[in-house]
Amino acid sequence: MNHQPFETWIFAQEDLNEADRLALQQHLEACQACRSLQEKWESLHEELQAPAMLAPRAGFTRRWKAGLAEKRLREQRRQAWKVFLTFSGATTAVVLVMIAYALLTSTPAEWVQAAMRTVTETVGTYSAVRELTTAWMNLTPLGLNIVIWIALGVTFCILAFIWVYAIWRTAFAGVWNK
Amino acid sequence: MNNLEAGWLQRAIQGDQDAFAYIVETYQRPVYNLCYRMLGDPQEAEDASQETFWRAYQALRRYDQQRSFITWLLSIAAHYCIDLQRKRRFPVMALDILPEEDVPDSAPDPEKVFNEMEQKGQMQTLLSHLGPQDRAAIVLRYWYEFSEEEIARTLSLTVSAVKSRLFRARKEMALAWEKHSTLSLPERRKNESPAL
Ligand SMILES: [Zn+2]
Repeated sequence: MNHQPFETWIFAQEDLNEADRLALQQHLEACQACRSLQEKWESLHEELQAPAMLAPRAGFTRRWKAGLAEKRLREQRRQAWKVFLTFSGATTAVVLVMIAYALLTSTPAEWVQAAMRTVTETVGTYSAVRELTTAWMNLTPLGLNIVIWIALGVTFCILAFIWVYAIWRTAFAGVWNK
Repeated sequence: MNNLEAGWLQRAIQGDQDAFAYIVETYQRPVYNLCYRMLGDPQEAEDASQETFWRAYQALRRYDQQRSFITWLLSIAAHYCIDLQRKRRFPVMALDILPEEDVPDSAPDPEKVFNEMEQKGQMQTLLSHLGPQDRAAIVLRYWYEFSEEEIARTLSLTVSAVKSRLFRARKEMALAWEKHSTLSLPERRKNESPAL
């Protein structure tokens, strides 16, 4: 016996029109195999009418919050690493470009010469600065000198703080603003 | 979704974490149930539900507010579970470890609860006979009473593809049901291996 299209219709009864429904009914009366299949589906379909909804273990939202905090921390670290790698990568690239440029435009002998010249010049500058400082110290009273040193020290500290804060912001602010 | 929930959702979209935690609290059950029906293991279902909410949290700005929120959320869960199932070669069905059931407040009749538990184990067994997408279609159809159009939208399929999947799944389940229901309960429990 040919079971099609009845076999399909058994599982799609909501789509059938009146005529098809009647034809299916007639086939079911005549065909034992399709009737058995129909009965199975009917009993299963009943079970599927009000299936049980399962709930997670208590504390699901608490676990969600904990997981979220952990994921954000991980993302923060990843971003900090990204900033660090970008900076060091850029620095390395600049140094490499400078070395390549130096190699293209000059010879090692010229470098040695330039290095020697720089050392001599630096020593010269250093002794000149020292002489100047000594002369200045001798000319001015002690109190004024102390004030100037403190002012220089404070300025340096403020600059260092701004520098550290700027790096810290670039590394973390992106994550915290999200 | 009522007005109160819409308000929370609005706040969550603007980046309010507490509002999103409220969303998690509200929708944990439907999401978890879908993951459990798809994966058949309480721990995996827990992990998949947490992952679903994490993905929703990240994609919340892209959520189209014309769509139903629960449909969008269940779509994320279904796609994630289908991917998981495709990646793993042997589906694991831990039938003996069942999660808490959403039992109504009235005093439970012991025999009825036992039958329901048993029924549930069988239901998971029946679902485990289906491929991931067919299973998702069946679960959305009967547990969530989705129309064929809603299932098609949730699973990114055409309506005719959903129809043919539902037909195939129903037939497979009916045939599997025929085999299982002929065995009596104690025999079935004894002979059943935990991994089907
Ligand atoms: Zn027939």
